[in-house]
Amino acid sequence: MAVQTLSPETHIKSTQSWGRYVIILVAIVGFVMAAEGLAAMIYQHIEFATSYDAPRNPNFRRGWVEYTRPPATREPNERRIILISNSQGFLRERPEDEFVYASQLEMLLNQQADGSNYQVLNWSIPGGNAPEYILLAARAAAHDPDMILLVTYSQDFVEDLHPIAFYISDANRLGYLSDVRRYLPAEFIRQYAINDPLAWLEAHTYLGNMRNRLEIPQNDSWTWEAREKRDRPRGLHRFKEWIEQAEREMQFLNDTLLAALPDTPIVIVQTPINDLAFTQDSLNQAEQFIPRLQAHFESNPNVTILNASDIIAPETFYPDGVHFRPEGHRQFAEWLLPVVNNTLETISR
Amino acid sequence: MIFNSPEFGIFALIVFPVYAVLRGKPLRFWLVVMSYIFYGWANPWYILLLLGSTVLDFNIGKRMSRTDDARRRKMLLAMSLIGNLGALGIFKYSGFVIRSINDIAATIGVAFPVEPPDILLPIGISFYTFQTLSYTIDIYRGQLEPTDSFSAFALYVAFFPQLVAGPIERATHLLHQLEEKQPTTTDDLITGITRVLWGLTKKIVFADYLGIYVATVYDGGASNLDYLLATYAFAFQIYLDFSGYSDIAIGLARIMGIDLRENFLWPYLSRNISEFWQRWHISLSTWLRDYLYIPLGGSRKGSARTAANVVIVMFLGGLWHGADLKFAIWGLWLGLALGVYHIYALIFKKKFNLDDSLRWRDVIGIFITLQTVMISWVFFRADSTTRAFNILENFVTRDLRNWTRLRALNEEEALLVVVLMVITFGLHIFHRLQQGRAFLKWRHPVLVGAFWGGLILFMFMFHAPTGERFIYFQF
Repeated sequence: MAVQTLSPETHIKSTQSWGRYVIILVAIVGFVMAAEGLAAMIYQHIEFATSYDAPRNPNFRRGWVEYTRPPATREPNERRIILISNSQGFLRERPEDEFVYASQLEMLLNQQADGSNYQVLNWSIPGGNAPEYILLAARAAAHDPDMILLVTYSQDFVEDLHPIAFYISDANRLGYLSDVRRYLPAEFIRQYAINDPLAWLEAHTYLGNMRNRLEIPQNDSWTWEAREKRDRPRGLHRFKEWIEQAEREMQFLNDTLLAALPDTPIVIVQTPINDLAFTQDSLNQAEQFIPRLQAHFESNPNVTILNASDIIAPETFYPDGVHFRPEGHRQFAEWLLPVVNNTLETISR
Repeated sequence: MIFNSPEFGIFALIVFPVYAVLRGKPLRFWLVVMSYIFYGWANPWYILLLLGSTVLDFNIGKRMSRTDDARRRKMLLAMSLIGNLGALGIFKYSGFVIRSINDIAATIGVAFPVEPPDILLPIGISFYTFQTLSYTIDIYRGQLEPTDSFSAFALYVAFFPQLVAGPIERATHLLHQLEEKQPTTTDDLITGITRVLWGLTKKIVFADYLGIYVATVYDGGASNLDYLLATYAFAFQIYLDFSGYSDIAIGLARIMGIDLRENFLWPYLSRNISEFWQRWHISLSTWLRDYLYIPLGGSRKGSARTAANVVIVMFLGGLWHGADLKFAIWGLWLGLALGVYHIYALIFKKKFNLDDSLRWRDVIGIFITLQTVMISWVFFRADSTTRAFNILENFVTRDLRNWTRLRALNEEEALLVVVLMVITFGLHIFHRLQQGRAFLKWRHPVLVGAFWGGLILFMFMFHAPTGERFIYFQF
């Protein structure tokens, strides 16, 4: 490479040549465009699993834009159920997809052989929380689902999407997609700062998508061993803070569901809970959860709220006290089966 | 406002085009106003303090130049010192002092009824206080003529590129550059923008990534191996963070044709602790040397007094960083190391020249210096003095298994930390081998454009997911 050394003349303070700066600018733009083109070529050759062909996101907490891509077509007999949930729906402790309750529910539904092809799309984010569910609910509109199943509990309505921790999911990228953003309440966008120009650029360029692919996962993000029992029961944020935050997030969720899925039945299920793993504060919170949900979703005729908190015995949970074992997943799927059937039957009528 | 924020991008797009068309007083006025906006972005009340300091020292400087009466000059200097250090004391140290008195009182069983004040520390107060103090001290010493232009002086105090975290400039170097618009050459622009981009890269890619792992270890439970790695990582994080800020400051000033002093000269290849302080935060160490160490007697009063002066200066330098015992210990430790080195250098008649090329035998000195500095960083990074001592204690007392396994970090993260440190250290070596020759000599516009485009892309692709404030903003 030819290297031009600095000539003494360039030290002299002189009028700049504007042409030189135009060339520099063109070179920058050209360089960046070339890199974007290269990234496009690479990105388009990457095969991303979607929720239609993978029972859970193979990229763990990343790649939510790709994993929740809507399909091009829909079969006439297809019944589409979107499950939005947290790590309990993900079953990170086991590598086998078939143990996940979403898979088991899909299998049970299809075993009915009623002529329908049931698809249970498992949108469970390990560590997922309310803001992510809101983004996923908005994303669901593009899939034209027959039903939304939101399996959640009080603690999901505590944590913020911001500040985005290193290991958090990239579901916030969904908020920059126009077919998601249009359903999001303006206040939600403001509160969770889904208006960062750099993040917008990351979501809308191939280079940005490639960057997201390259992001290094946080430690223990994809291990298959059940974690050791915690030293102490899971404590929670202060009760008052929880109420304030939860109220806000429930309102955002309802607003989003009304805007994105005005005619779709939505079933919100309080997830199975292991009482022994929680502090009294947490249990108090859990008890408040359903009444508060009911108060918020009263105005939404599509929403049904159910409680599954005590359907799984404590010994069916892993030692971490939060996630249930494969047999628990089976029990939960069996519990959900009539719920789904009844809901879908109601629509058919 | 911080350099690595979208707001600053918009700010720069407003400041520089207007700067290009203005001259003289309107230009200075423009830059002062914009510097105040830059400074007051988070809290406009801070501007009052900045303005107060400016008015005080401008007037004291003028009055001092009008009199030959030594007593009156001394009194004026005292007013400047009291005004500036008083503000610094109230805003930065009053809480610390009252808390310390409370602690001592509690220890001896006496109730001390004063609550520490709940004062928010104004950003950059330590930096601009030292900068403006140097102005009055230099006038007092007869080394500087005061400026007649209030706008030039206000700009000297508030010049936005270096206002918040330095380099701490001297009026003898900066003030005259601000009195008149400096012509900007193509070379200034290219070098300035390259420096800004490089500084941003150091900050948002290298420093912020290292910062994530350092926080993972220091804010949670970890093994000795984690702590060792994180302490080294912090050493590089703080270097990249602070020198990155200095690069951006120097680059921004250079775009306006203004020369700021270098603040870092690849410090982790220093052969002894004295050299380290000539390569690390140079603007502070030279300030401490000129305005504290030399007035205390410097090296003119024997080796014992020299060592004592060094320790005193470094102790105060530590406290300059923060009103916390851990910073005092940080300074004290480095001061002791410097004192010991001074005695060693006197006994063995060791002399070194900053520009000497490195030799293989220097490796031992570099290693010892690095370890000495590493110990100090534990105090700098730990949440408290107690925690810092715990970490250091664990280094020497805990069982060997703690040295062989990672607990807070996984292998991939540890590898990434090591790679980032190796790159940074590699840049140190590369630069020293270059022996001060400019690395980037390309001036062909296509090459410059491609280089800038490459840096922008590199930052875009690899910036850390959590953007942090510059570490030195807290001081």
